[in-house]
Amino acid sequence: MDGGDRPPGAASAISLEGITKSYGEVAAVDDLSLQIDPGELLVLVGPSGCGKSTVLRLIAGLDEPTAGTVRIAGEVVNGIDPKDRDVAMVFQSYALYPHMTVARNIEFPLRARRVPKAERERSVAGVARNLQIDHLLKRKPAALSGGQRQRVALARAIVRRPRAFLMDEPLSNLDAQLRIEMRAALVELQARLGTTVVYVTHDQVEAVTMGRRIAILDSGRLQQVATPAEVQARPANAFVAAFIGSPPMNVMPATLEPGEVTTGTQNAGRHLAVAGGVLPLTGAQQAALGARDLTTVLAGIRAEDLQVDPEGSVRATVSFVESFGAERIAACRLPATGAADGQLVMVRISAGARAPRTGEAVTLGAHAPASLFDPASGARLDA
Amino acid sequence: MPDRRRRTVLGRRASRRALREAATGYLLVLPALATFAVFVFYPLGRAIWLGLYRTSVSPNLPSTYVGPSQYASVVSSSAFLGSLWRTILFAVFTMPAGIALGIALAMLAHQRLRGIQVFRTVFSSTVATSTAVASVIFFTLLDPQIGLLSYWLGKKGGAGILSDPTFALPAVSVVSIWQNIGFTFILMSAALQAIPDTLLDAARLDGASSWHRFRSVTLPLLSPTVFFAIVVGIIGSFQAFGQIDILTQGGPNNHTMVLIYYIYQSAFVNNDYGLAAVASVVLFAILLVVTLVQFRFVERRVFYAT
Ligand SMILES: Nc1ncnc2c1ncn2[C@@H]1O[C@H](COP(=O)(O)OP(=O)(O)OP(=O)(O)O)[C@@H](O)[C@H]1O
Ligand SMILES: [Mg+2]
Repeated sequence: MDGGDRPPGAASAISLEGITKSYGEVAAVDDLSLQIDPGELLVLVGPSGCGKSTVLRLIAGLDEPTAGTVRIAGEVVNGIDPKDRDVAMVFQSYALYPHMTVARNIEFPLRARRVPKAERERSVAGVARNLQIDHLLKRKPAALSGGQRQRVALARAIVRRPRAFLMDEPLSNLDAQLRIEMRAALVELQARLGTTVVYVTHDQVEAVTMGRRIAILDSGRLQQVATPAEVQARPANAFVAAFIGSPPMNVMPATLEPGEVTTGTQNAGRHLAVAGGVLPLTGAQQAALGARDLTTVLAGIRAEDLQVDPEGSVRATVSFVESFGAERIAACRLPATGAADGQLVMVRISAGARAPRTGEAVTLGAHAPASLFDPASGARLDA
Repeated sequence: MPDRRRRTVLGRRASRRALREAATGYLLVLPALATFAVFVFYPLGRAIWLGLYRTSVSPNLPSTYVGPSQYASVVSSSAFLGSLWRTILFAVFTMPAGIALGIALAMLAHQRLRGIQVFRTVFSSTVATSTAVASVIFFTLLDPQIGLLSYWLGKKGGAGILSDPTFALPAVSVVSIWQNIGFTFILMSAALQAIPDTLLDAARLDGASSWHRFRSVTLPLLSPTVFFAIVVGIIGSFQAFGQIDILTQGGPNNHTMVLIYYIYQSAFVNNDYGLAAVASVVLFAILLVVTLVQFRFVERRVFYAT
């Protein structure tokens, strides 16, 4: 799959080229380049304070970048007023005008653009019906539930048919059940309208379930842009590995074993030593390590790629077992190295297998190669 | 039936508890009530009572009971009506301009600019200035010989602006606006801070011009504060005394003789307590009615966030 590193072009609905936004010393967004296709739903995900809202504000024109170019539909929009960029935004707080009725709220963008009354009324009625809020049109926002407010905010964004929607954590104020419903409704609505959407969330589960492509941001820097499957299978660096997935990837320090060993079911070859045992290396990984002359790395392995296996190569003690519906995850502690407690690693118990007891000593086997990251930069080594 | 007896016992117990709670409540408001009684209700009652007596021309003779007729004669006198009219003019001169100016300055100071703190301090500084100080400053500025304002306005020499029948009341109004601007500014600034930035961001994206954003988002959300400023402003302008006493003493030729100054002159210069009492009671009644009307009608146009 493509990793989002195509040359910037007029074909993108939104194109960010080397965007930086500094507030004094801190760079809220740091040299970000990102292309968003027409009609795409791109999810921008990252921890709190990583600059997600800032990116949306830069696209919307509410803030101007310190450096870099913003293009919408191929044209440079730096310095162009928000109202002339023709994008709509759904705010986390919804930002409904509290003194106006729902109908007036939805109508506001049309009024501001001097759309004739008859057309305004037709548009509002259409959008309200579409989002099933037509019975609420006479109410004020204070008399609405969170989910209803969210729909009104959406309606206000949709009503003028903008070139793109920017959504800043639009579901984070809803309860878990409603959030899951609205997620599906949003994806469906986006597919129907075919409008480009940049969707911001700090919830990686939401990102993975909603986005065809997700862009991961940390400290203002873009970490990876790829499909959810790609991000999970081949995280670009240790941050992405630890941020995406439930549970996230286990990332542990490892050193390259000097010689070749044969362990249980694993093939002979060079191995990585981790606390409590060794992990196998593929030929390509051995070549990549050899080329860089590295002997210590960070090894990342997903819970589903580990299993409790009497023939396994890593010793650990079971700390606790958690169930998420049908899925069971055993948290296993590796032997301590030095003063600190041993590291916890998450291991998926395969369906039908016996769950280990708390305190039980087990051995873990890996049935897929680990991801290797540079211990200094965190970058993926076999990229 | 034991059941019913039980219920009445319970009922009696409940009513006794309600009584005790009410007693506690009254006890708690008693200090406030006592203060109001001594300093508001009693003087008000005395004033109404005093209005029924005509003060004799000679200070040594007792006043005579004339009944409500004194109310009728004072209220219909041209001196009273004139002063009422000038009070209304004074309110019209000071209030809308003062509030508009307060909002304008607050909007200016709401900008995120370097050094805006200096302007905030300057704009709110008149709060820390007493009426007397403000009046003396303007008395000097308006002095026909040395006043800078007189010079700028081309009124140097002659009798001076404060002695000009046409300009005296507007001049006193300007001083009042200046004196109150700090308070209005602080009030409006606080209200502006309470408006979420995202609302105005949303309006910008929705395509509203800055004037449209002000008209349809900022102003409606300021309306409770504007309403408060109007109520307080009307009461304040009906009670403006210090600036008139220092600047014009009601002159020239009664052109700045507002109601409160008329009352003061009647009572303490002319020693006509009966007349002053009547005018005071009427002033109270006017303010009461005006305020009630505002709450009844103007407040409907106010949006209170819940
Ligand atoms: N107006 C501002 N002045 C100074 N710093 C700012 C400003 N706006 C944002 N920042 C800083 O920029 C960084 C990114 O902020 P931003 O709001 O984009 O984060 P975010 O990813 O949206 O976080 P959250 O998930 O909490 O909403 C933060 O460190 C924040 O403190
Ligand atoms: Mg944010």
